[in-house]
Amino acid sequence: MSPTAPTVSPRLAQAPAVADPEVVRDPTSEDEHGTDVPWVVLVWNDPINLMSYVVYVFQKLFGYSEAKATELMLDVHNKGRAAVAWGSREKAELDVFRLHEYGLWATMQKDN
Amino acid sequence: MTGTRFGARGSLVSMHLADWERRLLAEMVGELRSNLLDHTPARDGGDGLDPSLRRLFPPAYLSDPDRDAEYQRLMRDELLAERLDHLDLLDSTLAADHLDDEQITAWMQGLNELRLVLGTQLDISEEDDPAELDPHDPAQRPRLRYHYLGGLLAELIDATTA
Repeated sequence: MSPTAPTVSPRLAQAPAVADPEVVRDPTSEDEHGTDVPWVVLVWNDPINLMSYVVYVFQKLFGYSEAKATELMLDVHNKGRAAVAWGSREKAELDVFRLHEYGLWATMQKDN
Repeated sequence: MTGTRFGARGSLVSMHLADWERRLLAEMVGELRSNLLDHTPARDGGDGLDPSLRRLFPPAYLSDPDRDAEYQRLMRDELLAERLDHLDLLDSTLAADHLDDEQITAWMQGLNELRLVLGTQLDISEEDDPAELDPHDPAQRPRLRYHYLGGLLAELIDATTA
C-alpha cells in the first residue's frame, strides 16, 4: 500500500470505533468460528491503495474497530495479504464484490 | 495530513475546491468515463479488457478460472454501472459546498478509481516520492496528478473520520 498518507493520523485515531453504525456486527462471533464457514475472503497488498483508505474500508464494510482494521491493514501491507471475512460462498462473494467496489484487491477461496 | 479542502460538519463533510481543482477533476472523470465505456467488454470474462482498467475489475477466484469467469459474467456489468454512477455523482457535485454520506462514498470510490487507473498506467511503486517531481515538467504531469488525487483522498478520509 501507499504510505503517502500516514498510517494512523491523529484525527483518524480519534475516530469512533465503528465508522457506520448501520453495518455493525461482531465479526468474531459466528462468521469466524462457526462450523459451516468454508470460504475466506483475502485482501492482497498493492502499491496504490492508501493505508488510511484500507483501514476506512475495513471499518465501513465489516464493522471492525479501528484497532482491528489497522491490524488487518498492516497484515496486508507487511505479509502481502490478510483474511478479512469468512462465511458461505454467497456471503464471501458479496464481500468480495463490496471490496471490489472500493477498489481493493480481494479474492476468495475455500478456508482449509 | 491536515487538509483545508474538506472539513467535518456534523454528519456532512464541507468541501472547498479551487477552480483549477474542479476543472482538473472534471477532465479526469470525463477521461475515465470514456475509457470505461469504450474499453470494458460487457461479458467476455476478462479478455480484451484495457490493461489500465484491470485493477477496476479484479479476479475474485485466483485458482478457479471457471468460477471466476462466472463471477465476471454476473458482476462485471453491475460493477461497471456502479463505477459510472459514482463518477457521475462526483462530477455533478464538484461545485458543492458539502457532501452527504452517499456523495462521500461516491467521491472516495471515484477518486480511488482514478488513482487505480493512473497508478496502473504509471506502474507506480510504494516508494514513489512526490517530492522528487518537478512541477514544471510536463512529462511528469501524470505522476503529479496521481499524487494530487492521493492527497485529496487522504484529506477526505481524515474529514470523514474526524
